[in-house]
Amino acid sequence: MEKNPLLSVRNLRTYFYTEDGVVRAVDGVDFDVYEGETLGIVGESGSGKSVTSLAILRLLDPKGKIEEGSEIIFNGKNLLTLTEDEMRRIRGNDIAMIFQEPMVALNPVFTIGDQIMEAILLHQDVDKKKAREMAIDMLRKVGIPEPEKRVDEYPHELSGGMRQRAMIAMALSCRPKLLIADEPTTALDVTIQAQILELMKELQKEYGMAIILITHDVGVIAENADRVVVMYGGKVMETSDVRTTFKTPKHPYTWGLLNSIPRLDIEQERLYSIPGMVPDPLHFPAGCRFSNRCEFGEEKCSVEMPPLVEVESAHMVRCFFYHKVEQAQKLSKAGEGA
Amino acid sequence: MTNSKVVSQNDTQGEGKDRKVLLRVDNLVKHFPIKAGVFKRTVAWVKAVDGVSFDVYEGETVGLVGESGCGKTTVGMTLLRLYEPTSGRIIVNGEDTTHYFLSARKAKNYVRNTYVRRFQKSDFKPQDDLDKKYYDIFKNGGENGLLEHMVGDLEKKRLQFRRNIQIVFQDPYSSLDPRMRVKNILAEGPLAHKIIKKPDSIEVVGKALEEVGIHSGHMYRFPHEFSGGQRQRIGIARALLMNPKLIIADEAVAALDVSIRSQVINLMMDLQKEHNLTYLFISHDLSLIKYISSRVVVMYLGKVVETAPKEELFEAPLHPYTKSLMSAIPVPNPEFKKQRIILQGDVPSPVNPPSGCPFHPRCPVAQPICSKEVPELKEVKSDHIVACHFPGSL
Repeated sequence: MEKNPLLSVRNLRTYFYTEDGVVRAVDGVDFDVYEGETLGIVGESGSGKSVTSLAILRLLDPKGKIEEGSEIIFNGKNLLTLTEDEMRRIRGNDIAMIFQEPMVALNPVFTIGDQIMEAILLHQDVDKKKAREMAIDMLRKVGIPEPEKRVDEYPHELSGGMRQRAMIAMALSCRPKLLIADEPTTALDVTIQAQILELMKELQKEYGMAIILITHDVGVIAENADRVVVMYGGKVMETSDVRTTFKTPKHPYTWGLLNSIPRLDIEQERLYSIPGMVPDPLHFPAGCRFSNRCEFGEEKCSVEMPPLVEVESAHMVRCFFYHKVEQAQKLSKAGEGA
Repeated sequence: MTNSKVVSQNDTQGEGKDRKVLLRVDNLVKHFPIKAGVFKRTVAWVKAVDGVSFDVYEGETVGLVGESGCGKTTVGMTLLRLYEPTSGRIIVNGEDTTHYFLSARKAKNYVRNTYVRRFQKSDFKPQDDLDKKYYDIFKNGGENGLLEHMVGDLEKKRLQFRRNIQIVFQDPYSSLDPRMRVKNILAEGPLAHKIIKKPDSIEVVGKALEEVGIHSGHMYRFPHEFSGGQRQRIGIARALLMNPKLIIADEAVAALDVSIRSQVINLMMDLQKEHNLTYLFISHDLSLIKYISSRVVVMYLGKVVETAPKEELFEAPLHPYTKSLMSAIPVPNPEFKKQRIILQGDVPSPVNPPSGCPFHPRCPVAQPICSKEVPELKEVKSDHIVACHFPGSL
């Protein structure tokens, strides 16, 4: 990882100015994405993971504002200083996105082919006939049977899994350097999810693109990401390579999350529960955002926001008392052994 | 957890028969008509549930698992008689309840067609305990005696059935009336069934709320004032207040955030111990099913493909579908190496299910016979039932 990052997000703050007050959906997020890697962003509803991805492409709804001082540097350019025209040239060409609900993201009144061709015609210097051929090629690549026929079908004629494949075909038609996948498989059945994730891996190998994989499913992250960013309450709580985070989580939230999910690979006597509720982004607790649900916290936590510090090489944690998590982790490991 | 282990040990020693069957689903079928044209003629049938059988024993948790469209929710709804079954029997606590929600005339016809006709034949032999029980009544009281036993006082039987079986729905946002206070939502059922008296309702509701972890002072609030997890707790309290024997939980935690999910799961398991509840847990999430169930029923395209005690199923799945489903579940452990089986294609439509075994077009080990003959459910090992021509071949 000596290379320069493909995308650097620095101090990204995205606030929504609503009638009820300011929603600090993303509040000072930093991370890097390197060429060809998959970065997993994991978090629950309200953690700010989706808003982060929309902010990168500047697709936020008008109420949302990216605050002064935020930086999103892609290939050496700060995307936040570009004009809308320049931005449009990047969207779909250098950075593409796929969404959770392919039925909502695809336009129901145009054929799949038209929608893929639109992106190709916009970004590449080819005629319509060539673009159609490219669209058919792309559909074949993503494993849609009979692409010559399917290219003229409308989204409603495809199954959920096929729609998601069509979305991927559209996103990859211009060979982007970065693909942002926001919950790409959440709406799909597990056997279809396995197909789509496998397809994304294959295409990533072939095209060498970087992927930001956003999901609430830590299992999907564990199997598909190289590095992981754990978000909670609009902040990055922990980030490291995926093995380190899953083996030795150091933030109480990551630790709690990993211990509270039912798992196929181990026997569990009783699931751990993180107490309390997912916080309302209008009223985050003072100090550490997780302080009101944390079992390791002390007084200091509800007063002061802990900084994101590098506790080991390339392992960053936002917690004053991460040693306590280390100890708890050791204890539970010892318990498993006994 | 320990409970289920005892059960499976009993089975291997052949002593499992003393477990009491609370619910027996016998060859349940539910087909929905597809209507088209000016005269709304039925042009085809959606075979949502197509011959499903399984038992639920008292005190256990049965996990009913399958992908979307496999009919698992329809099974739940049909058990509760929110849909009338097309055919098949639903036996609760040793009584056939299939006809409970039919009109008196239709209910009588059902009893005549299902039992009396068979009993009248000279060469009749009882096929199961229920046959034996009803045949005894028939011998002593004749047709009228059996009709009296099964159809008499139908209204009372219905009420009792509703008390015994309760449901917790998936979506805590649409399953609570937004215009009712929580107190009234919770008291409505018990009052209608005369389980409690009106002056006691505040105390009873308060106790139920505290039991599911909600402050009893919040009973005068409306559903929108609660979070998703709290609403699901209210849904559970509503089911509990009827003192049910069986709770059907249809994707009860699927809509909740990960950190809230384990709270609700643990709550449900605690309540089970305290109230000696039986659960039928319907879910698409195999990891959750593994954690919560003692036995598992796997469905595919309206049919049961495999049934086994949990430990047995997860250690040695025999149906190729069960095995592929397990391998498709992402495991939150980057160092965990597993066999990866990626199924091709989509789940076929239940309007036009494939011939033979419904899974054969996607099955990695299908043979010519699989597309021709429907495999029967067979008990391959003790308590391990599979519908496959080549069980364990994947």
